[in-house]
Amino acid sequence: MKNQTINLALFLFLLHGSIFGQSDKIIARQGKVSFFSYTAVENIEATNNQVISIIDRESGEIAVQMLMRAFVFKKALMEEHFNESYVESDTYPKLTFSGTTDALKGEELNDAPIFIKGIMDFHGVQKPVEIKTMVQTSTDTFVLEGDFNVNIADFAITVPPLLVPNISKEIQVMFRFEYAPYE
Amino acid sequence: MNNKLSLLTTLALFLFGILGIKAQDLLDIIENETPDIPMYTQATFKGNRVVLTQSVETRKKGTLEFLLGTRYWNVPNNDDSQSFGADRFSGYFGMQYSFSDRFTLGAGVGSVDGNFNSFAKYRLVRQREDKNVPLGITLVQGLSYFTRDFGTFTLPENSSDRLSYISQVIIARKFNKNLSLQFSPSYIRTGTNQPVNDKNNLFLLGFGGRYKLSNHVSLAGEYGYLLGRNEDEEGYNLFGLGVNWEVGDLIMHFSFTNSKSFDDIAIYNFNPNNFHFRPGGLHIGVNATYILHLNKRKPKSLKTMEE
Repeated sequence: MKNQTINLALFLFLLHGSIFGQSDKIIARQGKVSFFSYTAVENIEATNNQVISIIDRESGEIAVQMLMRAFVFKKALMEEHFNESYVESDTYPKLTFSGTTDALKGEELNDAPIFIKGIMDFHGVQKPVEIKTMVQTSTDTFVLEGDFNVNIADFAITVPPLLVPNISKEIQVMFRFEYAPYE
Repeated sequence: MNNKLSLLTTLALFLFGILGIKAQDLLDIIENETPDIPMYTQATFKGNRVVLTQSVETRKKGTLEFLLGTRYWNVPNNDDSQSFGADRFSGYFGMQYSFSDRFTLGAGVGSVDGNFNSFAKYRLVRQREDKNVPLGITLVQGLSYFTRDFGTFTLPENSSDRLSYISQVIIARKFNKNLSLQFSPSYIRTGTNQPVNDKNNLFLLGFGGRYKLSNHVSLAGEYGYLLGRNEDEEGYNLFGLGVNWEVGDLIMHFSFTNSKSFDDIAIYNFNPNNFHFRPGGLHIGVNATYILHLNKRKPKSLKTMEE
């Protein structure tokens, strides 16, 4: 009987802890990610305005998820080819990133570049990456933005020989997330 | 015993509490936060045609599509042929414009049957990824005007009889990323009493399929069964096999069929031979579809926002 009481107390404590922990999370619901492929033959760019990211300020963990189908291209056919023939969004509908950084822990944040180490899961490939990110803080918002390059061969995306001149091997990716408290 | 069990429970709960709040959980939270936006299944067929027949697919708003079709075949029992490669040739030029994601108008001219045709295509139901809408339905209304005798077809004297109409309901489903099938019951109103004598109203069951071989190449097949036709003297049902190869804005179709024409009605009605690989039955087609986007969308990228 006594044991059960202790158990219950412990359980309630843990439950309380996890509820308490939630208030340390911040979320960006309409994060933007754009990518660019510039070659002599053609320029390709696409933007996704529905990227979601969550940061746990207690643990310094960050997670990002985007749907491949939500990328908008200038040409409708390019969008279809991108989903159907390159990233195969039927099989791999989303890209996720989960990482940690001590720089995001705690109360105080400075407007300075930070490095986020994590794993990018895209097109069936999990690859450790380190992304340099700019932090911008103001009274009511908290913004992470930056850019990095992705080598498409690293994520097993193949380009048919005839189209090699049209698609850059290194894709430039830009991102911007505006965070608000998560309720 | 009871003690051990409760200790284990406590331990399990404790561990769960610690391990629980990890990055994977953040991804789980995101998963719950993701809004349910309906995603329409894309590329049930890669083009507006399976091989020759209309597919369930229409292009996006503001897309102008040019179709240049050629077909080559040999004439049977033509041993003293002097031709290089193929005895006969037929060509087709068509254009179509998508006024919206659902509505397309198209027209074209074919050489073998001196045929002018046009069609209106409306996408009634679009298949969705979320299983709520498991199939797509497209309506097609086509109109063809014949100006020349060809094959088993004799041109009617009265010019109003040279018009024929076709109404199709195309029902299609993309089963998985590789396999798509479509069924298209159709009604054909011919002005000519051909190919079936004294019958102006014909019914057709069309079947089409696509199988993706690789990311850029897919195999397509189709069959058109004309009801109430006495095959042989009244012509043969359409059979076609094709390979679609997409290269950026250009889509190439290579095909084997028993049809000489490109027209939406003539392909079903006027095929003098059954499909086989000997002269007369085999027609090799090479079609190119070029896609021009007149109405480019302008998504604001992060670069344009900076400028």
